[in-house]
Amino acid sequence: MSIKLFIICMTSVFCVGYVSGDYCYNDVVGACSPVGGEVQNCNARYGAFKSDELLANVQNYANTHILRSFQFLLMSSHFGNYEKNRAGFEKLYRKMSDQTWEKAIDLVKFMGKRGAHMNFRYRKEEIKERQMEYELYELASMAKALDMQKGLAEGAHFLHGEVTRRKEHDAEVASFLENNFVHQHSEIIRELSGYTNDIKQLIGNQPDPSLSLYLFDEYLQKAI
Amino acid sequence: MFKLALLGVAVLFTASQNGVQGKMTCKLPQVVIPDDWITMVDPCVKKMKEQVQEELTAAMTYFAMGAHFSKDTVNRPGFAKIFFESASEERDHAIKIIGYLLMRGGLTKDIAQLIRDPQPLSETWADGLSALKDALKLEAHVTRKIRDIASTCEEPGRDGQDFNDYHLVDYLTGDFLTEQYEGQRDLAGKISNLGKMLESHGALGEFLFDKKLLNGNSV
Repeated sequence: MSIKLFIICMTSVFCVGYVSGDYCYNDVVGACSPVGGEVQNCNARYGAFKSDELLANVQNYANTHILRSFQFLLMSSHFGNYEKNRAGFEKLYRKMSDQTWEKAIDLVKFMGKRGAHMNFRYRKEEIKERQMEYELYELASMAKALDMQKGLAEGAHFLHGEVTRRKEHDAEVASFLENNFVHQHSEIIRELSGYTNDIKQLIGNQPDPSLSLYLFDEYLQKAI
Repeated sequence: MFKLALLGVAVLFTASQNGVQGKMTCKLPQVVIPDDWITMVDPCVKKMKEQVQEELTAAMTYFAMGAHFSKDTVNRPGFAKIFFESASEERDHAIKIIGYLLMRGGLTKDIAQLIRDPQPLSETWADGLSALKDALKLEAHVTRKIRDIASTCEEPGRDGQDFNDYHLVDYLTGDFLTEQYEGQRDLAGKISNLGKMLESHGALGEFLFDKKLLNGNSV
């Protein structure tokens, strides 16, 4: 009798000790035993995503894409009004709005893949940064777009640094950023820098650059 | 000495070049354009602008549904797929409304007010059925708003501007309302089918339904 009791005691101690580890399997063994329990370790969170700090940074990066997408849309709309009437600029910024929107969706899907979740309300940036000027002339808008794209590229570099050098090494997150963000960023930035310098040279020191801008806009309509 | 002179000339040259660059004319002159073709009246324009924010709020809500059903612990990729698609569709509607306003001579100023940081109405759902029900309520809300624009733009009277905007109302009823009614019927059908299965086959019903959605089958 006392031996049986001893064995039961030993087993239960063993079980409790076993269940307390951070493993899905242990959770399942616990949940399927008469004691029952949650299976909170049965998730896809591993590597760098175990850190809440990285998760917050990725959420912030996705929210920045959504914000930028709407900002590019407003820049595009401005050039679509009858006074501005620059279909090429309108098309260029619309393309950027579409791209940043798609990238936001990709980031949210990626978070789901890695056992993380999106929080649409989390943003690191200052609120004042959202008060942007949209009603810009051609060269200024191109300059603004270039700066915005550089910001997005640097955001990707920051995350890449977090998962390679600074925090827990995570090859999959690094590879995701490389394949889906950084190379496209370098291409867009080079394109916008080229346009900005072209416009600057075309305007030159003419008192009236309206014909140059008209022709450049026509070029943009075909080039995009 | 000669070198110094050369340097001096070079400095002068760059300085003069900088001087020229500093005087770039970047802004173009305003052109006087007749405005009697701009016929949309204020109460109607106001409603149309508000609709952009409405559509984007719907887009963000669908975006949040997509995010929710993409979670590993929820794991309903079929639901996530249709909601991500709906999010982009709602965004397209907002862009169509902006395009219409631009076509009618609108949006020449205060464009920043058009999009005011739209946020999802909710970020988690108990199950697929409750998300579909929320989606149907959201669509019904958007439909009411579109009808509201149509009625305002038919008789904007209040401010003494008596202008029945036939074209806008035709565009809204033809393009937008058709899509709204078709979308609502589709959602109601999905809720009906999934709801029936849940009566006795809860988790399994939703699991199978999700795979149908993922494969693009009509359900």
